[in-house]
Amino acid sequence: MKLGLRGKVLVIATAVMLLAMAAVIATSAALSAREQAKALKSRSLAIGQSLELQLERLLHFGIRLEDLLGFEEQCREVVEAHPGIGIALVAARDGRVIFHNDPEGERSIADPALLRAIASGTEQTVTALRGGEPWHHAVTPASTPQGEHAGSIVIGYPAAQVAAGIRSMLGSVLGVALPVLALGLLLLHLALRRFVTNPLDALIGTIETLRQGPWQVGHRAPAGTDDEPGRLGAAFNGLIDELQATSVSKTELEAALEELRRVSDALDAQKERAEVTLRSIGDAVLTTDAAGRVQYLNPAAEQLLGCPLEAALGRPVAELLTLVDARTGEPVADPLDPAGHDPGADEGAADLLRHDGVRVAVDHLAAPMRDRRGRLSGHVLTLRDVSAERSLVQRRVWEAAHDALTGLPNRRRFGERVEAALASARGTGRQHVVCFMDLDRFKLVNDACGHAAGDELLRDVAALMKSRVRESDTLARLGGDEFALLLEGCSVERAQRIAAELLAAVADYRFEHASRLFSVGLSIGLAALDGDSSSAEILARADTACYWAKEQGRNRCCVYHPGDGDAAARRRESGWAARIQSALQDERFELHFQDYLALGAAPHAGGHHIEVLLRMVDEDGALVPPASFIPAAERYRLMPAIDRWVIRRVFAGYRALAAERGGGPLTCAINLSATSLEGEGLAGFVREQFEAHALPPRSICFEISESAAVGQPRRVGEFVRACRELGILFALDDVGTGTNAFAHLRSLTVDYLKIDGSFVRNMERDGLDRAMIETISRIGQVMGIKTVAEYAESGELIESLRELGIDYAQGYGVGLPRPLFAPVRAAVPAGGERESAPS
Amino acid sequence: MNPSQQSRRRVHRVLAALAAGCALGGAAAVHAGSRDAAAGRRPWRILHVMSHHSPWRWTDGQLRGFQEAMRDVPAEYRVLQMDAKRRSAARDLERRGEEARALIGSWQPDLVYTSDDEAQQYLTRHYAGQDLPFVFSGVNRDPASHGIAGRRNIAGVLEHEHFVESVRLIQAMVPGVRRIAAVFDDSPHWEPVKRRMQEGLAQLPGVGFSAWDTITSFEDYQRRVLDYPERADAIALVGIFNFRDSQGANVPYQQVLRWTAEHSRLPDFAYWVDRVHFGTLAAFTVSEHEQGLAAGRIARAILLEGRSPGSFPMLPTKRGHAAISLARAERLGLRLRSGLLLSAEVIRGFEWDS
Repeated sequence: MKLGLRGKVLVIATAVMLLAMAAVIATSAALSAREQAKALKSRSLAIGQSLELQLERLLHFGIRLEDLLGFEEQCREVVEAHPGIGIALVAARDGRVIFHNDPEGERSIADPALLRAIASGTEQTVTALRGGEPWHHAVTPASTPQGEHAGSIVIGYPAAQVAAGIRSMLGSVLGVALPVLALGLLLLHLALRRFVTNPLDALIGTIETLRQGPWQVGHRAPAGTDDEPGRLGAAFNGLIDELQATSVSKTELEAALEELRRVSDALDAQKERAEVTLRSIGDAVLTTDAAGRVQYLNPAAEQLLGCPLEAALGRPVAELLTLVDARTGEPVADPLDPAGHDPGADEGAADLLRHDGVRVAVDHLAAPMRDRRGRLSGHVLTLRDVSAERSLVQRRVWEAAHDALTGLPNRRRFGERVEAALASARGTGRQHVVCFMDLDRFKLVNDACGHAAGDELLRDVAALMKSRVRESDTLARLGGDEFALLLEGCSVERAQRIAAELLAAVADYRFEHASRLFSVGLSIGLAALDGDSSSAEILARADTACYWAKEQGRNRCCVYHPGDGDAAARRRESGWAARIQSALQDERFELHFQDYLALGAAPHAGGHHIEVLLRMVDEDGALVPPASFIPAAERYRLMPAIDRWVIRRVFAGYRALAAERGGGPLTCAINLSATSLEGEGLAGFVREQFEAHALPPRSICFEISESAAVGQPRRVGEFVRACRELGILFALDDVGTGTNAFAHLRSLTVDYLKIDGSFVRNMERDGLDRAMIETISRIGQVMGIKTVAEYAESGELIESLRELGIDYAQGYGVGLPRPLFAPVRAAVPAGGERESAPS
Repeated sequence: MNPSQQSRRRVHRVLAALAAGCALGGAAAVHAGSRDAAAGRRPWRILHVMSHHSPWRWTDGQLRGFQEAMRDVPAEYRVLQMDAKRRSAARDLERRGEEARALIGSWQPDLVYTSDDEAQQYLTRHYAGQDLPFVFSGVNRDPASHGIAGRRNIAGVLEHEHFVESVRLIQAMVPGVRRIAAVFDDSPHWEPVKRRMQEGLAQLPGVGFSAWDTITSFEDYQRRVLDYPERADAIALVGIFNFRDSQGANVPYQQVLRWTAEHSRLPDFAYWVDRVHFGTLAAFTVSEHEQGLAAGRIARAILLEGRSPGSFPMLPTKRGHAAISLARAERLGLRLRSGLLLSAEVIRGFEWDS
């Protein structure tokens, strides 16, 4: 075990103290044994003498020794009162035991030595065996009053008692000595620590401190005492004083070290922050030395370049990457040259070509690094992967100029192209033409098949038209079912031919959806560009021409000529909404009617049947035909109000109308627009009016267009069922214009099928139209539905219709429209006015 | 020290005491040591009035005890003997009391020490309640009967005989003693003794008084003693001072005791060691030395500490000691155990033989 100074001193002191204690104890034991023996002898003699006094007192009473009574009690008291004393007896000179403390004790003295001592009459001690053990005996003679030796007192004790006393003494000594030894060692330990080891430890600590921090030369060892450790500390401090006097001052050294430590900590912290930042940012950062050799790549750079830092270290940048201009594809001369970057808009618009061939759109920025003297020490190249951003931007740019559905340029891009063409026209005099195209019956498909089908139709038509125009031409979708076409370097005549091709192509196109075939038409308006007009004006002219084409019966092309009065007048269409609303407020509408002619045996066997026709009176009192205001009314959702006005007037005047016609059955047919059927509450309104005027069953017949019935079968079905509960009849209008309306006849209960006038008008010349009329008639007959033929304009047609089994005829051949009630203006001749359904 | 030496020492002490008593009796002033004289105060004047006479063990022993307690107190003593044993007539005692009061008036003692009952009867009671302090010892009777109980200037030690211890001593010497014949003379001061003896029987199961005799004539005494063996195992010789002979003369108690030792076949006991010297077999005596020592301690506290005598309770001494007449025992044929002889004061012979 390794012991310190204090431990060694304590061990030595312990050994010395133990030796001293052993010597003292041994000497004490020897002396004590002697004293013990002496004391026991003296004690035994004293006890014997006390018994001798008592015995002699009794003898002095004149009592002989042999006549004494009960002296053994005194012997017994002596033994009991003095521990260690084993025997007390009185023996006669001849050795007879007269009194004995032990009733069973010996009756005479057998040991010769003891016997001699008793007989001698002198005081002495004798050692004799008793029971095999050595015993000491104190023999004290007792005398008679006459001085004669009467006998002797014998006090005996075992010799082993001396050894027992020694052992007891040793036990006591050790019991005291050992705690004293422990206390002494403790005091020695404390003294050593206080006066020796603590000063030495302090001195050692000072030395260690100075050894580990030589700049802490201000440390001093404790030297406050005048003993050896104190002098040692003082000597050491003197040495350090001399050392400090010949060295840098502690304050300067500490300040310098502190500054160095602070700067080092700051640099470490800055480096740590920079590394953490570089590791955490998403931009790729690459640093090089002055020669352009890679010194560092952050993780983003490793990922972007597809090259780990270990593989890139020391390699020229050009080996790792190539930057090319994103637009031109030309290589960037020097990616590390910041002078090559324009800090403007073009900055960093480059693609990165990695060594593995991958091309990544990036923004890049290079910056030089310079040392304290301004010399170039390297470069920092920052690259950001902008593939997603650039793709998104491109997508946004494309979307801003194109129609997402068809991929065609949109109205904005088309306008830009027109502007460019106008500029070209102004500068070069080249001819350009704008075509405004609107699909006919697209709404029917959209309503019947849903918007998805409508979108598909639009894509098909767009692709179809795109395939029919030149690559240099601009075909655009303006919105909804409207398209526009810019024909650059094209005359109006050639444009008309192109339009005709487009009309033919669209007319031949059939859209199939859910086993149903739809056909659509196209109305085209052409307007030539002139250098004096804006693109908006040019587009408006083409739109006007297109509108006129629709007015002309659709599926045709119209050319806008500057100064065209009719077309200019139609540009006022945008004012129709306000005029219609004004008419509604002023109730400037009139109702006319046209009779049905029953083609059966008796013309009015089933009563009178008339169709109510609507006219608007303009601010000048002139009648406005339905075709002029109903499209605008439908576009601006004014038809529900107009239809309700008609219902209210007809229901209110029904009784009078019936009375005018002799009081017989009268059925008034009222046209309902699709927008009215789409709206809420029409059924409730009809019921309210019907019940308010207590109309009889079959007094009213609502005419619903085939497109409305097909487009909203559920809503129309509910309306029909509600009205039929009141006894109202229904007629399906414009039958034949759709190709699959008959499929709905099973679910839509109607009373009349009104064959579209276009079939009737040409039935004499077109066998297909006639066949259509026959088919409809046959279907009506099969289903028990009466058929009505419109546009029955002549007696021949009426006869043909009768031959085909048509039930009713309506048209100029039957009768001209006439006012139903008293007109709100002076009667206007209706001559030359062609009737058409209001919706 | 052997017994012969002890005996010689004891004799020397007695002789020395007697010599001192004689000196005091001669009214010689004894000055204290030079140390006390140098203290500047005159020695205390102490007058000792003993009811009996000197030399007598009982009275001299009390005075020695008293002086032992006062041994370092400078004092001068005067002793007046009333000699009540030999001159017990009331007029004699009255005259002695007057002499004592006269001496008090002339000598002006600082304290009066009295012993036994007669001194209280004829002296102390005259000073009850006055300023002169009185300390007594050896009083058998109730202090109230003397008119000295509860007085502020009177304190003292009562002498109560050791009846129970005496009976047990005689039983140790003669096992089987149960019946006791008690003998009294006609002196009135035995009444409290009688009462205490009756009370003491409670501590002695099986022991009773087979005779309880107050005897006035010696002749009657002799006759009764000779008859006691018929009805008693031992005799308690209590009052034996006032027996009259046929001429009416007072028979000395020594004579009464000698006749008893020579004629009685029963063991007898008393309470005073003096009786044992005159042949009474045993006595557990009241210690005259103890009595005097206790009285001296009271006097010392009164003189040196200034305590009031009335503050000390009047109590008897407790210890006493056994005394045995070995000659009488031999005459009665008794063998005494060594322990008994060693624990008692053994009187080997009769007083009349010495």
